[in-house]
Amino acid sequence: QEVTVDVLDHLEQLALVDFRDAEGVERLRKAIQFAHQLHEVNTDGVEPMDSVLEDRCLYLREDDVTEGNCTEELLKNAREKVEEYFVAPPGNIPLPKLEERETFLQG
Amino acid sequence: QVAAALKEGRVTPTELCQRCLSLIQSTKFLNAYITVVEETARKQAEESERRYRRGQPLGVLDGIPVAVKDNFNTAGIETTCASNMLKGYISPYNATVVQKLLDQGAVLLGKTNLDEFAMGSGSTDGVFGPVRNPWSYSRQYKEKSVPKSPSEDKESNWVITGGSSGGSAAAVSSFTCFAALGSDTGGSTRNPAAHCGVVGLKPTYGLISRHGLIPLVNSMDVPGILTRCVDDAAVVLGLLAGHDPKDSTTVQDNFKPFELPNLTDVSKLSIGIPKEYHAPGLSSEIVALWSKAADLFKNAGAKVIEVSLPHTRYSIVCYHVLCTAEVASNMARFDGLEYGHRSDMNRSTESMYAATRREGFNDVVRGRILSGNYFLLKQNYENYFIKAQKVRRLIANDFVKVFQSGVDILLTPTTLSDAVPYTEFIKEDNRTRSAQDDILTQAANMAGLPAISVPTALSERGLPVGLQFIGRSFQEKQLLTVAKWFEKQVKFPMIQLEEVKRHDHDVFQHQKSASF
Repeated sequence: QEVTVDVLDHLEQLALVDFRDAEGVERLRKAIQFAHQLHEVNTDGVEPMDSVLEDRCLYLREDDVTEGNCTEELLKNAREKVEEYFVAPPGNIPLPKLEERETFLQG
Repeated sequence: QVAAALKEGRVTPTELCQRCLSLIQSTKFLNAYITVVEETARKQAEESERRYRRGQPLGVLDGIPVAVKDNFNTAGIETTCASNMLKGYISPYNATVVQKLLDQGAVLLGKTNLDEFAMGSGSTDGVFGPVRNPWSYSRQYKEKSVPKSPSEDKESNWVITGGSSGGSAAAVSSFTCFAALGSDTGGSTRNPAAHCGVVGLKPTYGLISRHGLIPLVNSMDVPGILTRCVDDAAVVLGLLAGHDPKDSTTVQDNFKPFELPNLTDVSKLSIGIPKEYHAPGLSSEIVALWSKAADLFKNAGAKVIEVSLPHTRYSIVCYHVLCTAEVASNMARFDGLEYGHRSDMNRSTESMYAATRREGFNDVVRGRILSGNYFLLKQNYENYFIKAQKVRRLIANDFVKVFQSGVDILLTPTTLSDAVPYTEFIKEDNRTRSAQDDILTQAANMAGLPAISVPTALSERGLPVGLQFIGRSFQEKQLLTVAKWFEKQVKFPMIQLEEVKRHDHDVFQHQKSASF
């Protein structure tokens, strides 16, 4: 199965991380090839395992507010803020398409 | 021993703290620490001293210098995960395990170096550079190393610590602290422990809180403990284990800290030797040591039998898929908005996120995020992610079957060989290395079982080799008791470093120097 440029482009958009160069793409191809070994294993009738603690009951605490009021502390680590807001650039603007993006995949 | 010295007043916490801080300075070339907090450490030491003078120490850890891997949040102290993404990030809170150490009066010296975001098996891929194994500078290694050419720089011969908790392992190994926290997702505590000649404990998943540990793989991560002897590991474990309401993946069972009995009779023990751990690439030296260890138990009267964990060879592939998938999810929080690095790009939210992540993450991290996203694509989900989860169950069941058949503890090697020189290590890329090096340690993370690496002997090159014990879930007491017995038998030699002067040995000495 070839990994097409479409898939690579899709991954860049999903992950918001780029394949910097041919090495990056090759890395992915090798990773996929490596993962193929999984298909050698017969898993008929086997349930997927999410957690080793699956036989236990998850701890849930009472829905009481016990801490908080740390707005100042939390805002300290943000670069752009206004009053108590984190400031982001305008949203709802999709990433430029492959042809218009500055990405290695273009070449 | 040092706790007793503190109690008896033979040494004071401030003296201890100062000695460790000076040692950190003189071993700076090891690059074990990213951040050293001299002022706060001294203050903590002073407070500890006041408590001792009043005769009211908080416990056995009061005044003991410790170090913490830089992927644990530490209030007011920079926490970087050795990544540009978090450079300058000052944690607003303490991870639960850090808080517990501080509540016991431990003196936090600093944050140790690691592979970026704990991804790697060499502690070579962080933005602050690689960590050097203290044993590279030991008399034992120098005596055995033959320079390939008369002009070869001795500097270039240094060996890696293993990873990803290499900084913590190096810190403990070079006597700059008495215990250190690491993390273990695929072997990241046990691997460097074996290479640095220290004890590395991976507790059962769910025993110690992960709150504040920057997550890699939520279903496998655990905080790891690195110390110079098994007893110390038991002490630290006793202080850290237990349910934490802030981490819902910690079990609610009541945990009782324990002291390790001095086992003298091993005749009731059944030790399993999993044949699949005779992995390709396992050095003949380690095979011999493993065999010798098995004989040690046999000759002492224990039952030693060969067992089979048939799915062992798939654990790395399985890990590869599950790890990258969880990483893809866990790294999504780094977008520059609330903390960490933020790019100057501000055309749109998405392009800012993309630029921030491009600038903040190294190749290894980006590679895993992309792979993870691939395996999670709708068309791949069933075939890769779900498939890996099914294989995970098979791996975990292998262990269940073996333990049910009457085996108490498994004995395996921890690493394929002794530590390799840095110049050798970097010839292969991170993923290949991790795939090779994690093979003996990874399955325990898959199954959530407790495992410990105990320094066993020096290799022909004069470097440490460790062996691993894997126990039943939540049976740390049994695991550590056996490990302690073994430790006593092998009498692993103490590292001989020029930087650690003679008189310091009185305080730091632990074992006599005979060898296994």
